[in-house]
Amino acid sequence: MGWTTPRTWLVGELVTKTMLDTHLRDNLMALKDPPSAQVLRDNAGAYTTNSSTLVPVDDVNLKATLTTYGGDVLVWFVGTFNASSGTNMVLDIRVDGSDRLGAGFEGLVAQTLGTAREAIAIPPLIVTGLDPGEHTFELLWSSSGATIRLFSDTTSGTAADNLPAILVAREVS
Amino acid sequence: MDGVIDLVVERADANPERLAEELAGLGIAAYRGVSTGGGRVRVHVTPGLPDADRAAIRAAVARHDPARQSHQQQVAAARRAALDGLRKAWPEWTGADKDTFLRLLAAEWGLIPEE
Repeated sequence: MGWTTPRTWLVGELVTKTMLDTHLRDNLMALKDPPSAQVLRDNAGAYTTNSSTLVPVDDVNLKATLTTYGGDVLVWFVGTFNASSGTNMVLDIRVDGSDRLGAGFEGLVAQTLGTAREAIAIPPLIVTGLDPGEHTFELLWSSSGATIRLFSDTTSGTAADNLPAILVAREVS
Repeated sequence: MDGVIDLVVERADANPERLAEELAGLGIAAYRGVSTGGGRVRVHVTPGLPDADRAAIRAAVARHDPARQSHQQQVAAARRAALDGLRKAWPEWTGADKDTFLRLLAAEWGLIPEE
């Protein structure tokens, strides 16, 4: 059930079943179950990059897609990273294939990585001004030099590698 | 992204560090880095890449041997082997062992980089 802008009721108006279904039942159901997309990505191996420019980690599989009713969207990410040697990593989120949430900054989150694994998150952010319709949210990353890894693997024999990359988007009212 | 386009090659078996070295070694000014994952190798370059450079990148990805180690991986392997050689009782250490230990320690502390 989708969201419908609530009706402004008139004095003396005959309230029908259709009206109640649309403006009460369906809207309550829409609020109870808002559009959501949660990606727990198993890449059967780590993602890597040494790109000096922000690029998508995986513009096919590590992308949250949802159809909204015009509300704001809460989006966040968490994953486990390391690097082949000391390097700076920057993370960002791209909306609809073009707009970086961290535009105006280097990115949303930066971290100096070494060979030890670290769980790193982009905390929940509210994305405003989205028209009703389909929207996509993708994780971007870059490195200042060395190759960085995002672990995303359920097939590895190494328990510490068996971790999903998690990207979530949910419309909020 | 931000003025970068991808050359995509379907390939799941790359050694990312070695491949990055090989691509950087081509000396192509437009090269910005390489990503792997999802069964693909994506080479990031600035737009307007000449056809010859595009062909050189694709050829480098095609001939890439994931079994070959990067320079850094070779250094790390040599360091591990050297450390393994030092796992013995102190009376058994030779003068060469002590030199090796000092060299590893200096590199670990960033005083003298390993070649």
